[in-house]
Amino acid sequence: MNVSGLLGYFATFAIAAGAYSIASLGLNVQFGYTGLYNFGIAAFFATGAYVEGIITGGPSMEHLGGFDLPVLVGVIAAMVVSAILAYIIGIPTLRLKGEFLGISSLGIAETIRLIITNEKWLAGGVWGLGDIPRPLGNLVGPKTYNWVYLGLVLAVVGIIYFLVQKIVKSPWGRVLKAIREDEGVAAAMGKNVYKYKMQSLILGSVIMAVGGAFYAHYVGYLSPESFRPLMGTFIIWAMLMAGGKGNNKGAILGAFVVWGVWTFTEFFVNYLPSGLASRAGYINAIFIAILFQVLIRIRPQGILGGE
Amino acid sequence: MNFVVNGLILGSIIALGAIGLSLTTAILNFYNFAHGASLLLGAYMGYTVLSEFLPRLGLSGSTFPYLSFGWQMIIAILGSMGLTAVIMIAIDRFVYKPLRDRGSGPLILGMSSLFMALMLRNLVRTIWGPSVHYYSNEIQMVQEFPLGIRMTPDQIFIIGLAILLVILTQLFLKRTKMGQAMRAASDNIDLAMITGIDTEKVVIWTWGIGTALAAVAGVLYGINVQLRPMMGWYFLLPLFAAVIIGGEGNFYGALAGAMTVGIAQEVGTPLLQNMFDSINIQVSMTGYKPAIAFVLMVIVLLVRSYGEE
Amino acid sequence: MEVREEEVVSIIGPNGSGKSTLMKTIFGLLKPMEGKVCWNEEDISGLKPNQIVRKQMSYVPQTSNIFQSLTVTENLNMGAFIREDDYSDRIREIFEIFPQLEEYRNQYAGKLSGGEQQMVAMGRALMLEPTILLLDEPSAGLAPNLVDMILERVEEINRTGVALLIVEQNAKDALEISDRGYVLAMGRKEYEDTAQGLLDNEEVGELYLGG
Repeated sequence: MNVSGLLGYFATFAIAAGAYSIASLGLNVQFGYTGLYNFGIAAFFATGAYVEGIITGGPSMEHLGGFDLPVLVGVIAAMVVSAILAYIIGIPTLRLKGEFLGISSLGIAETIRLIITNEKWLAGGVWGLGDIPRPLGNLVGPKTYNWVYLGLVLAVVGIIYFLVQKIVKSPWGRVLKAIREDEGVAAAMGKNVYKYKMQSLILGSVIMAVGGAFYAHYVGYLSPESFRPLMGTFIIWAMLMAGGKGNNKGAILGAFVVWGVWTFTEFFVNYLPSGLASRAGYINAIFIAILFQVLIRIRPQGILGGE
Repeated sequence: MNFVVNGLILGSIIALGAIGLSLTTAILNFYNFAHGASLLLGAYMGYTVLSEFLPRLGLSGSTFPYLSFGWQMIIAILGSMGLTAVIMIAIDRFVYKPLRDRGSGPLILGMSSLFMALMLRNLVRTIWGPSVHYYSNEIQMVQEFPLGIRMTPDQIFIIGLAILLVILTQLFLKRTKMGQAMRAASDNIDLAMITGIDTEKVVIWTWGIGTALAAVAGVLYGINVQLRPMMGWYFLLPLFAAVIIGGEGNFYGALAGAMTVGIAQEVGTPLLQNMFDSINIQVSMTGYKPAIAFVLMVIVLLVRSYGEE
Repeated sequence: MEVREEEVVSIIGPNGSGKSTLMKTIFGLLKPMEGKVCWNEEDISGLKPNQIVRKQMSYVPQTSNIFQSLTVTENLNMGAFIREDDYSDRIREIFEIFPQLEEYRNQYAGKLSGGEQQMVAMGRALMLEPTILLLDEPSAGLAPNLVDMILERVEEINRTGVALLIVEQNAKDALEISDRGYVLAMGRKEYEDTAQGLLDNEEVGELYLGG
């Protein structure tokens, strides 16, 4: 592999890591600052990606859309749909023990996956949804395009980081932290815990959807396979826990580190004996699972530690 | 009518899993997201005993009259119960217990078990491959029964064994001191400790029995349908739904919840299909079977959360 | 503070004076911030509850002190969990102290009345034939006639040779059946005397016994 190839590889890597850091920031709002356990990140990530694909994609006979609309319209639509989804899942669960949000969000992620798998008219079914355009693609040639898109993604990461940072330092954010530490105390202070949790759940999910939307442009083609629990949910949890829950820099750092580990091991397992090589993806998943167990045992606060 | 029968078969499989999940949830105060993986592991352990272990001893080939398998399956089921229980107890000792001892909350434990399920699922894929397996290649003849019920002999065996195990478990919980201690601990763990009940021993017994029952459920699903790496994951929502509907730690509740979920999945699918067909909405409901359990669960949670106010 | 063999000692004091906390600390549910808990000249501070029961100490907490979903007999069985011997005689003795329980032996404990539940809780704690029984507010939430009845049973338990340490809201009633008493306020010992002495003490009477 020559230098420009390696650099190109790095750009692709960083774009994916960038999209994941957005999702990881979203999870940080929910879990890191409010203590909400969302085990169904895939639902919001996938919703964001698919809505983006349908809104901005080229017209297709196979599925709904594409409407060929601007990227910004797509992102806003993705945010709205995912906010509604979060609201629906919040109603039955946020008054109850935290486990129920976990279980129900896991359920909604599975249901979303069933919908994108079964409803060919909507999302292309197992054939997937293609022809997702490259934003700003007409500005530069295909060779340098990845760098332009990387710049765009990193800018979005920066904006979201800045906004989340502002939000969690605001009085509203302090209430979230109070809820995370002790719900009873927050309630005793006269705060409507349910309302705050709902707002946090929605905010986080909307951010995840933005991550999904930019992920959609990166891959250019979506299929239900990309939103299996491992790639849609687990890996993002591993990212946040690695970087440090309750720390926005950590959320981003964790995404790059875990995605780096993932890409590296993927690269590495290709050299396994041929019998095992076909199962490399599984071994990689086992590795992520073990990494996570070690993390919560040895360093539950992550690399950077929370606030 | 046959949908109801199918529902009962699925319900008995879910019930075996849900009883164990309900007990561990109540006693350990955490939702074990790896309980589906106990079913998965159980099914594959049974497969290993049946197709690897016994043939090497030259013990294979017989079948019971009518059934698709012979006495080897009984050994496979017992072996699977033992192996799965031992593996899961070991995981508890080395993974969950250190977290518990450190005072980690139930949600950290839940998350740990979620990743444990991920690991076990991929371990199964690595060892046995991603494709499906069957215990037997024999084709079963469907028998006609009164009321238009059609079942294979294997399915009668499944329901029979499930009923037998439920009765045995209930007797254990009612009649033995350890069984009573398990109920006591699931009722009030703090009082159990004050009373002098050895709660660690109770925890081990609970894991053992809960995961062994789940292992049987996995084998029974394998007999009825097939073995595949995602089977544990697909059982997770029905299992949780059954436990939540029945109330954590409630034996009969878990049983009733499991039957409700099983029948709702099998009967609800064609029912909704008819409904959508009649109003001309083109949708294929069979793909949404797993979502039915989820919808049921959300309804129960909704009712509960309005009870909280 | 101390409790001697076969003695009944009451701890009284206003709400929030640390009475329940004291009980929980003695029984190993909370770690002592300072000081030690000794029993038979052995330091038991820091022992876990399941180790303490083996020292012939039993504890009845104020709330959720029975296994609701177990029958009366099963509750008593659980009380005897660490006993390896045949304890059916002990169950009979407990039914002699609390005859009502025998009647309801196969009923679920959670279905019984408040007074009966308190008896189940005490019966459960007595299964190990403790030399000392710790009772946290045995009469809380009970009707006045039941309070007297429960305290009578406490006296009866004491007559079988069991020492008792009682925390009570109904301070007067409790002191009447006690040998000695302590007054606790703000987590500290304010007074100690014989029960009669405390009952006669005007200051204690005014401040803690409602005049």
